[in-house]
Amino acid sequence: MFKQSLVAATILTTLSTSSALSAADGAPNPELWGRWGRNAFNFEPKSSGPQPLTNLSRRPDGTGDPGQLVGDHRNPILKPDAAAVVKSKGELAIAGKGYPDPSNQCRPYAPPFTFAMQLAFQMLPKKDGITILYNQDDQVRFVRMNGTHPAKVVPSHMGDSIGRFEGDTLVIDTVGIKSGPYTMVDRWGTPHSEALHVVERYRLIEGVAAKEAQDKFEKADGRVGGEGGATAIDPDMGRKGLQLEVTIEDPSVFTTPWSAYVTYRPLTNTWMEQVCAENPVEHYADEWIGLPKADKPDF
Amino acid sequence: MFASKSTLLAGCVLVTLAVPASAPAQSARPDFSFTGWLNEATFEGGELIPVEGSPPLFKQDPAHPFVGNNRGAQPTYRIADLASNPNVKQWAKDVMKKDNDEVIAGKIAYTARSSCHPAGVPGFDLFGFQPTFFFQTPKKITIIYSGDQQVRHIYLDVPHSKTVKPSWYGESVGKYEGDTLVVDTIGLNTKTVVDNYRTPHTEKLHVVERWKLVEGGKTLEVTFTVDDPDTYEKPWTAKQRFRKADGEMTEQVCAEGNFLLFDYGVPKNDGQPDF
Repeated sequence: MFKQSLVAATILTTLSTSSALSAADGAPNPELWGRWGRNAFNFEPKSSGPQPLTNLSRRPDGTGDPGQLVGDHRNPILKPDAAAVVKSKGELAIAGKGYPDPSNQCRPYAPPFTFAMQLAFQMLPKKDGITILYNQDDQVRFVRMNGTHPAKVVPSHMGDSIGRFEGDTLVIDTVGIKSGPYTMVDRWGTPHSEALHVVERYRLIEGVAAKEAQDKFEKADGRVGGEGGATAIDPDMGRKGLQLEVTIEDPSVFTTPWSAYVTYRPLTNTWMEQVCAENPVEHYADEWIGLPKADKPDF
Repeated sequence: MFASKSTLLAGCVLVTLAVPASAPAQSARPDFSFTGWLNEATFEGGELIPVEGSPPLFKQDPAHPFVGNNRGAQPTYRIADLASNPNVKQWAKDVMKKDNDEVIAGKIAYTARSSCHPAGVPGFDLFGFQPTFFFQTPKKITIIYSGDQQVRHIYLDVPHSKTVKPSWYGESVGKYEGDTLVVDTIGLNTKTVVDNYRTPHTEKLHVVERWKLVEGGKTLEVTFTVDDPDTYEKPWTAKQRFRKADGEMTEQVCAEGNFLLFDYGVPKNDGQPDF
């Protein structure tokens, strides 16, 4: 689908990059374009301020139970309607049913869900923008550099993302994220409206600090993939880490804008294939969510 | 879907160690990344373009003429005239005969695109209707087909791993030879077909693609040689051509398509996730 409304912004971007300035050239440090990973899901809380939801279901060692996703619906960032949705999803999880999400339905993982779910990603810069490739299901999103949002954004799965460098920080602003039966802000099923506004701020941090942040969060939330980890983090702490600070705003769902960290470190392994269509895609087909069905094709 | 595949790590470490210290001169590298590329053949039903000197390619069975989409008549599927290609071994023709009979009887013919599946190699080169994008870096090329966002990873100037676990897109290593990107792929699983006649292959499949710009950079051409001694008498070669496609990569979500309306053989379970 070609988006006519984007043409003006694209032309502006092209003009402003005609002096051989590309997204890659704008980067203060080429390490940014490496492959990044973590061995935990979910958002890392900041030391103060509004906090992301956590899992009420804990394992005996105190970490979140990845097999039972019960979001803390009492978190004051949630408005009552959103809290009720999170509570109902948690009840499904407790009943052993689980609930559909973008991952188990082979749907796009939009921001900010993608930050809570994806364990590895890489940014691929080109002259007009940055294509971000996420490992699970080979998810792809595109960020126009130095552009503006169109006056009227047609909501899409990944939304309309524009980026710029502020000093050494890559800032990505996303609006126009489609809302649907499988879309959610986090893995606890927190809903969002199409007013969702997500700002990502990526900056390189010292390797030691990145390791500390990852270790601390894994102790609280649980490590994915056991001791070996689901992704192969380079143990060299001399290599810088990457800190994403994400700020999430949606007045119909949240009582306040809130922000969280997601900490990454460089990966050593090559990309692995993950093919969603090879896996069971009809989880919860007869549950309340209702997948589309038809007796006859539309054509 | 999330899965941990730690078994791949050992092979990957070997590859990393083998990266040479110096890369080829930057100036020699062709650049395919400045635009998207749209396969021309898909608009004609996705036939391979023959290459002189190669063993023959399958042709459509004249008893079941091919009708493409949007031609004002009921579209039909590719049905190979099995006698038209003596280079393909009998076991493969037996598989195709059974499949063709079922398709003629009303079964929906398999395509990777309509099943939300990866197409393998050279199947990837036949993807059409949406453009393919190249991302070239000194050590790696990522190719993304924007329809359902299929992704291939090509590691440059490294040898193949000693053991390769078969996967949909296999293990691709590449190098630049002048104006040409040469990609060598092995380790392809047998879930894919090599053309739109649904010609099968074994895990011995070995594909060498040669990508280059032709017609003054207006067209991207890939010439690929397909070797599988268990399926084909001799290696065979064919081409695909791509024209420039302006615009950004757009969202194409396969799971939103029509695959739930038919039985495309998508695996199902009883509702319990694997994790």
